[in-house]
Amino acid sequence: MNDEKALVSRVIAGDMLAFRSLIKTHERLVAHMIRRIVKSEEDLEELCQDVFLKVHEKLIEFSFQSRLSTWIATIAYRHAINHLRKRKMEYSSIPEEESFTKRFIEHEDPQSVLEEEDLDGLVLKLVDELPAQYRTVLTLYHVSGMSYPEICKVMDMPEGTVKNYLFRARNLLKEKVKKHLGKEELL
Amino acid sequence: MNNDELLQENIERGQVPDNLDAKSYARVFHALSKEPEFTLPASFADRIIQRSLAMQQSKESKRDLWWFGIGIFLLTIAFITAFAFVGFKMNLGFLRAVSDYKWLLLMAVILVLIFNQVDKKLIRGENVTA
Repeated sequence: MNDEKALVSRVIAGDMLAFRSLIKTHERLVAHMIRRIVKSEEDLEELCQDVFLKVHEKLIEFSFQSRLSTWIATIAYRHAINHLRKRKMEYSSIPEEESFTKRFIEHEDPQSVLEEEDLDGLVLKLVDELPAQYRTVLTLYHVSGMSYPEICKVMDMPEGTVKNYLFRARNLLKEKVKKHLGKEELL
Repeated sequence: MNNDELLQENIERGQVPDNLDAKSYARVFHALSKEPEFTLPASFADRIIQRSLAMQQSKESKRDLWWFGIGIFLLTIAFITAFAFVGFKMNLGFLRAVSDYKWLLLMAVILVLIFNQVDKKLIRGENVTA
C-alpha cells in the first residue's frame, strides 16, 4: 500500500517514469478486462490507452479506499461498457436463463471442435460466447484473482449477483465440456 | 447447496471426485486460470505517455489563449474607462486624419485577423498533417 501511495504521488506530481511504471504494472489487467467485454481486437489497444489516460486524469481523486488495481479495473469496466453502449451493442440484459442455457449447450460448431485439439482453447472460445457480465466475472475472478468484494466494487453489483453469475458461467462451461468429454470417452 | 455448487467449491479446494461432472469442472477451472492469448505492443506505455503529453500541451495552449483573450478584454475596458474619464476626443493632429478613415482601419485590422486565422488553419495545419 505504501508503495502504491508513493507511486500515485509521483504520478500526480507529473513524473512520467512513475506513470510508465503504473501502466506496465496494470496493462494486463486492463487488457484482459477490455478484451473480455468488448471482444473486438481492432479497438482493444485504443480503448486500453483511453483507460490509462482517464486513470492519469482522475488519479488525484483516488482516495486509497481500495487497492489501486481495483480502482483501475473499475475505470476499465465502465469505459468498456460505455463503448458497447455507444456502439449500441447489447450489454445490460442477461438472456433468459432456460432458453440461453439450452442454446448454449446444444449449439455445436463442428469447425471449432475440429480446430481445437486442446480443451483449454475450446473453453476459452466458449467463454467468448457467454454474456458480457459472465465473461467479466470469470476474468476478474480467475485471471485477475480478485475477491468477491473487489468484483462487487468493480461491477457495482451485490455479492449475491456476482456469485450467481460466476456459478452460472462455470456451470454452462462445465455442461459443454462434459458433452465433449463424454464423446471422447465413447470413442 | 446443490450438487454443482458443492462440486465447484470442492474443485476450488483442489478436491476432484472421480465422476464426469467433477472432471469437467476441473478442466473448466484449469482453462479459466490461463491468461487469454493476446498481448499489447511493447511500445504501449510509450504511446500513452506521448498522448498524455500532447493532451497536456493542447490544454496549456488553450489556457494561454484564454489568458490572451482576457488580457485584450481588460485592456479594452481600461481604454474605454480612461477615455471616458479624461473626455478624450480625436481632434488632435494626426488623430483627426485617422478618425476620418476609422472604418477603413477597422476593416484592415479585421482582414489581418482573418488572414492570420486562414493561414493558421488551412496552410500551416495542412503542413503539420502532411
